[in-house]
Amino acid sequence: MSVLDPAVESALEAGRLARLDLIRFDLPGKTVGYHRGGRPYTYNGLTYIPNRFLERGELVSAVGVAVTTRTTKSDSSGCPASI
Amino acid sequence: MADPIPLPMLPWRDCQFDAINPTDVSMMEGRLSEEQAAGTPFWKAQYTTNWMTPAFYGLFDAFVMKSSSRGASFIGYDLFRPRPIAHNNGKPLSGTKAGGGAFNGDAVLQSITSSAAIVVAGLPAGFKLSPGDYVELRMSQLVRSLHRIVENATANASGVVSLSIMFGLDTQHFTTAASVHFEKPSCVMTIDPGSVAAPKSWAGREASFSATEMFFS
Repeated sequence: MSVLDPAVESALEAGRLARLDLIRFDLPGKTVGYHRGGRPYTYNGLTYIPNRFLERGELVSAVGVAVTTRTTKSDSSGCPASI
Repeated sequence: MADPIPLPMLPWRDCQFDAINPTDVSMMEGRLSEEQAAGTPFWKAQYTTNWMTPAFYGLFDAFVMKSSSRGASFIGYDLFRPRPIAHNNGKPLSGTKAGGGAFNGDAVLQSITSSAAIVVAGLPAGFKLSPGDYVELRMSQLVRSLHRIVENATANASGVVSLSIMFGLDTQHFTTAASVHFEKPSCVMTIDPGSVAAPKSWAGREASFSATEMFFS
């Protein structure tokens, strides 16, 4: 059983997709979101803010049932001191 | 000082203007490949001038300082394709809109069908757009989105045309409030640090720099 949206699943099956990594931090009292795009992106009620300290990792993919991982690196200065 | 500042009128010689679309391709076993585009595509440009007189050099030097990180961003466009190719006579666009009034390359965004298809109104009847032409959507001076037209399109008798554009429009920030521009369609850019080369000698007096699109919202 898959929890993915059918559109996402078919894009994955076809092997061509465009991706925007969103990173959400749920901190006590505050939730912030960042991404590495051009302009703020609102998704599911939260505005993800462009953050140049995030570094996109490489594509890792595999055939089979193995779970693949993605690494997104963040410079420690990427988080504002106020959160 | 204006922000953004226009590209100065210099004897430009070379121009590269390309959209960067960060992509990873992974070839896997069993005739399966996976191609992923990541993040937001952006434009990159490289400009080189011809041999310049001291007066032109002054303009260039002032522009480099004005558009540095302590100045303002500038608006860059493809010098090779400053207006739709079917209407490029080497001078700014002109004519009469289908609905009346002078046409200067500006139009109205009638609707956004999807991030890759828009409907533009306020053009002269029969205005032709060809693959490779640019279209700029502008919400404000600093919020611009530059796209390439990828299919032939011709405005109907009322000056309305449907355009196929790439890469996709950010529909969270661009609405039908945007204006549409076909004369020198531009995006907001900044000079890449360290990319300016401006030698001053008898033999070589060609200056160059590269630039990258900036996003404001």
